[in-house]
Amino acid sequence: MRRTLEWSTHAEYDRDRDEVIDSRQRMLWAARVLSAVTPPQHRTRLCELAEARSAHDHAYVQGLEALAACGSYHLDPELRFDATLWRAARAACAATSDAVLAAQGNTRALHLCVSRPGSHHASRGFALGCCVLNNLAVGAHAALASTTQRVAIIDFDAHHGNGTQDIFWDDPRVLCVSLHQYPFFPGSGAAGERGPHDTIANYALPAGTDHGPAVRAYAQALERVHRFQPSLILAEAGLDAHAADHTSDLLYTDETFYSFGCLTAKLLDDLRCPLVAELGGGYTESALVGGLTALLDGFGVRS
Amino acid sequence: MTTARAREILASLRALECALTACYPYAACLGASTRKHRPDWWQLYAREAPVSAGLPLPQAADYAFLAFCERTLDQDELDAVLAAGLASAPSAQQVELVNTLDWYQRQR
Repeated sequence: MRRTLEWSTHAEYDRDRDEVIDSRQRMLWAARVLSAVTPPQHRTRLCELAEARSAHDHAYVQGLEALAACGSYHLDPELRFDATLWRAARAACAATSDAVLAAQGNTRALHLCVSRPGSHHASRGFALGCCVLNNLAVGAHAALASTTQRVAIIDFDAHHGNGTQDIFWDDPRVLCVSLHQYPFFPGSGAAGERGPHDTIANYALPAGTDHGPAVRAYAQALERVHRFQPSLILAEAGLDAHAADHTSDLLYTDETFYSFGCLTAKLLDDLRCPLVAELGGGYTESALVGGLTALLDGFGVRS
Repeated sequence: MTTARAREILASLRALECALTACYPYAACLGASTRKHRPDWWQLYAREAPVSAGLPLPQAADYAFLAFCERTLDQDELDAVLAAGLASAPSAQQVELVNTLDWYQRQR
C-alpha cells in the first residue's frame, strides 16, 4: 500500500542554552530530509495539563507547572528546566497527540513528529535524559480514550524507552517493544522486564551489535507486534544506533534503517494500521540524515 | 548490588573527580534517599537554602539537596549514606551507576 508521508514540527525547540546536544541543529538536519519529500505542518498548540495527566502523575504535572514559574532548576545533570523548556515540552506533546488523533482510523496514515525536547525517558513521575513529558504515551492515551482498542509502541532508539515502559507497565491495552543497547543508559530494558500482562518486550542488544543481528531482532519484535493485533502503531524512531553516532556503541548502518522501514511498512500493510512516529536520537549529521533518508526509503515514501 | 560494591564505585567516581550531580542521571533519586535516611542533613539544607528545599517539584529539590550535600558534607560520611541507598535502589539505578563509571573511565 502506498503511503503518503506527513510530518509536523513546532517552533518551541529553538533554544540555544546549555544543552549537551544542539537540538536546533538536529531539527534542521531532519527538516532538510523531510522537506525534500513534503512541507511540514506547523503546530502551535500547547498540551493542556489534563492531557499530560493522562500519562503522568497529577503531582508531577502540577509540580512542573509550578516549577516553571520559579526560575531555572536542574532535574538531572543534563536537564535544566525552566519556563522555556516547559513550553517546548507541552508543544511537542500536543503535536504528537494531535497527530495521533488525526491518524487514528486512517489505515494509510504515516506521520513523523519532529519535536524537542525528547520524550521516551519521561516516566509517570520522573524526568530524565532531557525528557519531561512522554509524548507517545499521552498520544496513546488520547487514542485509547477515543476509538482505538489496542496500541503498539515500537522504540528503536539506541536507549531504552524506560518512561514509556513505566507508564504502560500494567496496561494490557498497550504493547511496548524496545530494541536498544543494554546495559546502557538509562539502566533499564533487560530482556526479563516483561510486565504483569507480558505486554513489555525488550530486545536488549550488546554493544557492538551491527546490521544482521539488529534486523533479525527487529523482525522478531515486529512479529510480536503482529500477534498483538493493534489498530494503531506508534514509534520512537531513534537514529542514534547508527555507527556514525558517537552516543551509543551500536553499529547500525543506513541499510539497517532501510530494512527497519521495509519491515515496518509490511507490518502496517498486513495490519492495515496507521503509524505515528516521533524522531528520537541521532546526534551527528551523517547518522541522522543517512538513517532518516534510509528509513523513508524503506517506508517507500521517497521514491 | 551490595553496599560495599556501591562504595567502591562511588570511590572510583570520586577519584575521577565526578560529582554525582554532574554525572549520574538518577542524582535526584539519591537526594531523595539521603533525605529519608538523614533528615538532619535535610533540615540543615532547608535552613541554608530554603528556596531550593521548598521547590514545588520534589525531583528538583532532591537534586539540589544532593548538590548541597556534595558541596558541604564530609565525603566519606556522605558516600556511606549514598551507598546504602544505592544498595536498595531499583535495578536501573544500579546498572546506570556502573554505566556511568564505565563511561567516565573510557573518557580518560
